[in-house]
Formats: sequence, structure tokens, C-alpha cells
Amino acid sequence: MLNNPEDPYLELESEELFLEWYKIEGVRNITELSRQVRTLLNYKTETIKYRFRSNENTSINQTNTKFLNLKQKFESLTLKFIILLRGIKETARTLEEGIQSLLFHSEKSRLKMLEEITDQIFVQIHYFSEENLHDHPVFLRLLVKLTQEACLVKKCIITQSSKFFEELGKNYFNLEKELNILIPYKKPEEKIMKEKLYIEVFTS
Amino acid sequence: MKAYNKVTRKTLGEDRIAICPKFGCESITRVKPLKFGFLGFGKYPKCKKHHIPLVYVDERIGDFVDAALACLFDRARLLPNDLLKIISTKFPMDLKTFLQGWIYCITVGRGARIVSHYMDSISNVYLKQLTKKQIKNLKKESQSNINRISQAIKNGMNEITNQYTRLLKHLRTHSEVLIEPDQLKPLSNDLRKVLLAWQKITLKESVILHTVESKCEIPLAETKTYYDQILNVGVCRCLLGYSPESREVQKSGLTAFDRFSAYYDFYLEELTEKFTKSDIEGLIQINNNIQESINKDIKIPELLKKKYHFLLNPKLITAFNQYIKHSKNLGENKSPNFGTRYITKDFKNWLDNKENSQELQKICNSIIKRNEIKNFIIDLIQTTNLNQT
Repeated sequence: MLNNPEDPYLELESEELFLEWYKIEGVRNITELSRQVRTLLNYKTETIKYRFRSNENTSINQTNTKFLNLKQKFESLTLKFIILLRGIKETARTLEEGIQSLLFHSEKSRLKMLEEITDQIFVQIHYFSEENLHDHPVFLRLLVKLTQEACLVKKCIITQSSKFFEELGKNYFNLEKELNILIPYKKPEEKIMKEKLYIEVFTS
Repeated sequence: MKAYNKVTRKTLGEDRIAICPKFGCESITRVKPLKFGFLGFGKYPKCKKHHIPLVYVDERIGDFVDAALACLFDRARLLPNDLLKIISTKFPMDLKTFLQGWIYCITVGRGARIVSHYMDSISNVYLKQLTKKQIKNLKKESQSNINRISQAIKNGMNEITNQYTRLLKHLRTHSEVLIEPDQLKPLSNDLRKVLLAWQKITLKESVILHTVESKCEIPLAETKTYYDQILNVGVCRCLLGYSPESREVQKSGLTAFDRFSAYYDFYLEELTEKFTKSDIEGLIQINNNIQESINKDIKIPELLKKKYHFLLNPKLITAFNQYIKHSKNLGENKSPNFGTRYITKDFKNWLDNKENSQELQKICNSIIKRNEIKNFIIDLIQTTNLNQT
């Protein structure tokens, strides 16, 4: 055990380790806030670019294979995240209550899993925010929607920055409202085909 | 000018972190109290690079956000006057759309994104300066839980978080109070061309001014003009669907820190003031006055009547009035206005379905081809006093 009060050398070593660990954690937390602000503003910028795009601007589509691969991986990560959130919500009235009950009953393994997946989601969300998402408006809206859920998780877990994440979530909520006006929902082709078939069957 | 709590080791009770007040300078140090209150050198620590007294970091970060907000929501430069003039004379019908678009883009266009870079650098350096004693205290307060430790970061760290939250609150309020997303429309191609030309000219002027300013001192109010111009170009670029940071500005060596640093000076000298909803409403009112004058009190001079006789063709006007009735019956909100939107696609489609409309269709096509409506409005504004209303 490192933290032995009887051994001054070990005590010193423990303090040094703690200092290093603390610096890393502290920097991580505060860098996270800075990155979050930047990500939000990146999404706002992409929304503006999409809104005021001209034919000239959209002619160069910079989609690369790395982007597509990451998008695929992100979709499976999102699925995991949603399933996990659904599981948590089942036991409570709202998701917020569900996460709080996890904290209250100190369900460490689920909590750790939730924290890890949320962190991964946020890293990906930041990556995508710098990838010309105005060329992928539907994906942009999906990301904005998902970020709100991730913000809610962070708001409950990190009490020190809970107000920050609450405010961030509200900003994303407004952005989503805006995107909903800007990008009309399209019915999937399959659904349209089924509807057509349905009408044909019943009118013939 | 605001009096800083300049760092003095005489009155310092415990170790604190101090920073150079110049934005972008990463000179940051831990300051210790003097022994017995008088023994020791460097009673008033200064920045080694800029030779100015240091200030406490947790106070300075709030100032930085003040500067950033002053820059993002500056009333004086809500809309550049030259651009406002061009648009109100050449595109009076597009003024409202343009105005709403401008306010919508203002935060991103004026560089909100780069605020986080500076705050990031302050935060990181701050953490590196924490003393072992401070860490030990944190350790006593905290348990093995990371969240508890985060909570134990008081002083500067809490302040940094609060300031980030404050910034987000302002951004949200801006979008909730000042913008109506369903009113935002894309700009017309002609207006886009004007904006492209305006930003090119403005950028050239600003870069020249920056090089002059770096060589000799000019008054603060004048300095502000060209900083504003550069920021306005950023907003303009957003309206054109581009990134706010242009290559020209990047090449000129005018960094984000320079901009916020300058804006902090403007803020202290009360050269900036936050714009409000009533400022925007005032601008919209001016636009409404222009439109009303065009729509209602219009008195077309005889000269113009002769020049643009085909526009005032009675058949066309009758057809136009019928179309308005038709749109209203359909319950459409967007009834066509007199002006650049006179002959719309919908109007032409409606005309196509009408019997014996070949003659009118020909007139419409020739009007569109020669861009005659725009020419007519320009002539009308120049010959009457609409410009002044």
C-alpha cells in the first residue's frame, strides 16, 4: 500500500503520485469544459454554413473513408449508449431520476460503464464537429440530439460542472429546434413504398 | 479604467496564482507572501516579457469573458453603416432578411469559437501552478472519488467553470431572445455578390490599417474601427456560408488574442455597449418604413412611367392582383410583394395555367431577363426621397 503514515518515504512518494494524478484529472476536467464550448460553437458554425450554403460551397464534398468508418463505429456506440440509457430509465420516471438513483445506490459497474460510454460519445461528437458536417445535415441533427442526452448524463454525474452541462444542454436543445425547421424530416423510402402499396390494395 | 487588484506580496495572506494581464501571454506564476510581511525581493511581481504588474488569475478570467462578451454583442457595430446603406438602396426588400441573418451569425462570425482557446490555456497553466500544500489540503478534503476532488477545486477552478457557464448563458439568451429561426431565409444571388465584393474591399482596407497601427500609435476609437471591420467580415463570411476566419486575416498576423485584448481596452474605455432587442427592433422599423413607402405611398414620376411602361402594364397589374387573391384564398402567408419578388416562380406557374396568358408570359420573361424590376427600384429610390425615409 502506498499511503502508509508510518513510512515518510512512502508518504512522500504517495503525495507525488497524488499530485501528478490530480494535475491530470484537473486538467482533464477543465479541458473538457473548454472543448465542450468549442464543440457547440463548431456545430453552430456548421448549421450556419448549411443554412447559407450556395451551390458553389456544396460542390466540394470532403467526405473521406476515415470519416465514414468512424461514423459507422459511432453508430454502434450510439446504439450501446441508447440501450444503456433505456435500461436506466426503465427503473425511474425520468432519465435524470434514473441516473441519480444509480448514484444513490452506488451501482458502480453501471455507473462506470455509463461514464465511459458518455466520454467516448463526447470525444466522437467533438471529432465530428470539425468535419464539415454541413455536408451531412441529417447526421448533424442526430449528433445534436444525442449530445443533449450526453449532457444530461454529465450534468448528473459531475456535480461540480452540473450547471455548465445544464446550460450546454439547453444550447443544444435550441440548436436542435433550429435544425428541425431547417431540415425537414423525410420518410424512409421503405415506409413510402409500404404506404403506396397499402393505398393500392385498399383502393383497387 | 478598472483598478486591478495588482499582485502585492505585502498583503498576500497565502500563495496565489498570478498572470500577466495581457491576453495571450502565458506568463503565469505562483506568488508567495513576504516573510513577516516585509522580507524578500519582488514585492510587486511583474511580467518578465511585458514588464507590467501581474494580476490574480481568478479575477482576470472574469475580465476576459467581459471582453469576449463586449466583442460579441457590441451595439456600435450591430451592422456596418456602409453595408446598410448599400442594401437599403439597392435591395430594400431584402433588408429585413439580411438584418435577421446578420444578427443570427453575429456570435460565430465575431469569433466566439476562439474564446475557449484562451480560457483553455489559462486553466491549464493554473493547474500546473498549484502548490503541494494546496494539493495536500485538497487531499484532506477529498476522498478517493474523482468527483469529490473536482468539487474541492475552489478558488480559480470554480471561477473558471462559472465563467464558461456565463458565456454559454449569453449565447443561449442571444439565440432565444434575438433570433426567430423560422424568419431566417437564404440571401438572393445578387445580394450575395454584393456581400462578396464588400468583404473583399473591407478586408483589404483593414489589413492595411493593421500594418499602419502596428508601426505607429493611433487613437483607440480609430483602432476599434478596423478591429470591427475585421469582425464584420467574419459575420459577412458566415452569411455567405463560409468559415468566419479568412486566410487574409490569418496571414496578417492579427491573432484572436490581439482582438480580445483590444476589445478589453475598448470595454474599459466604454467604447462598447451591449446591443439589445430594442436596437434590433429600431433597425427593423427603419426597414419597414422603406417598404411601406414603396408599397403604399408610391408616386411614380412620369419619366419612370415612360421608361418602365411594361412594368406598369395594366394587364400585368390585374393579373398580379388576381394572383394575390388566389394566394390568400389558398391560405398562403407569403403574399407576393411589389419589388424584387414581384415575378416569382409561383406567379409564373400560376400564369402558365391561365388561359390566354401568352402575352403576359412574354412580358414577364423579358422583365426577368433584363433584371428590370431591380433597375426600376434603384431609379425610383434615386429620383424620389425614399432613401431618406
